[in-house]
Amino acid sequence: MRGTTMGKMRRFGLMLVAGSLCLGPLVALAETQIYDARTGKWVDYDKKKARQLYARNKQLPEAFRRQIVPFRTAEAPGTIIIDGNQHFLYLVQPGGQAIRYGIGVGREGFGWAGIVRVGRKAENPSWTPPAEMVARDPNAAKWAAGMPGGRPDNPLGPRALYLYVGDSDTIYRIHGTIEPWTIGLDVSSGCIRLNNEDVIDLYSRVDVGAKVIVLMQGAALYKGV
Amino acid sequence: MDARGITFGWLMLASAGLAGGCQSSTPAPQDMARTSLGTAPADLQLMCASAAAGPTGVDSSRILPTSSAQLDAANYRVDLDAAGSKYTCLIDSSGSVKSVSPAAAATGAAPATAEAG
Repeated sequence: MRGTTMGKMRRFGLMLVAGSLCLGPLVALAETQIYDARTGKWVDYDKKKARQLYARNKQLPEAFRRQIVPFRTAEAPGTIIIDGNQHFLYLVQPGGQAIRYGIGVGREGFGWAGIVRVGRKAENPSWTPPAEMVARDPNAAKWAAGMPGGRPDNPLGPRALYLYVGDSDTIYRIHGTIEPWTIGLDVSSGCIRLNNEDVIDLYSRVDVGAKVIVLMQGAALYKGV
Repeated sequence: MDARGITFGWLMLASAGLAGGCQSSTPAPQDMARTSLGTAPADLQLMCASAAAGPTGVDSSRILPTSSAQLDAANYRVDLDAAGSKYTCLIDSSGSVKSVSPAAAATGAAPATAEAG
């Protein structure tokens, strides 16, 4: 048992060194760990672990729950900052603070970075799967013409913020999810997902036109810069 | 001081050492997740982007942090794209920007704008 723990610590340390030396496309190598307060240990956080913990606790790990955090920035209150590598979305507040939400982001090859804006907002958004998804996923194919909003199986959840560069839709959205255990993971096709309570909260606080800065080391593409 | 007193003193010192140096502390709720990438906190990355506006002559709204790394316990390096030009910013954990300088020519390819599939 101790050997296994030591091995994991050594592996994590080596990855930290690698991350410091090479700033290339390391998204594929990135590992997330969370602190398990019950055992007092850091544990790897992957899809399997995330699903287990969510089934057990019926909520996200503490780090990915909505919370107020210190945040020093010259950006105006109301600005959204997305740290894709750490899986956090910050909504800048007055007084050197931000509301921090846990997020799920694009899996390997789908991560992106840039400076965009909220072009429009929608309650109970309809969902139209992209053509590639229709081609590879029979479940998505039956909704090729669009899934109505408000359905419990709509993957956008109850709210969506549509991200634009200028007047052009980037096709990326900030939205809810029907898989809340995926918060904290690299899982999407480039959209930013929050759990449904959080996306409702964020939606109520954000105006159309709000600036959105997306930070993602190893991004596959850039928008708005 | 007799032998019992000396022994008790050593025991107290040992237990203080255990409490202070060997016991792992519980992180604050906001610090209960970490990744192997070791990137700089988002606010520090953006402070670098703001600070780079002056020396680069590029509006800060067009400066994007593209990568970052922790150099030691108190310092970070943040790589910036300023309207296509590459800069490196050094910043400490208190938010004090130490330098902003053009990046070496070999630090990676320029980000390209592309359509998402």
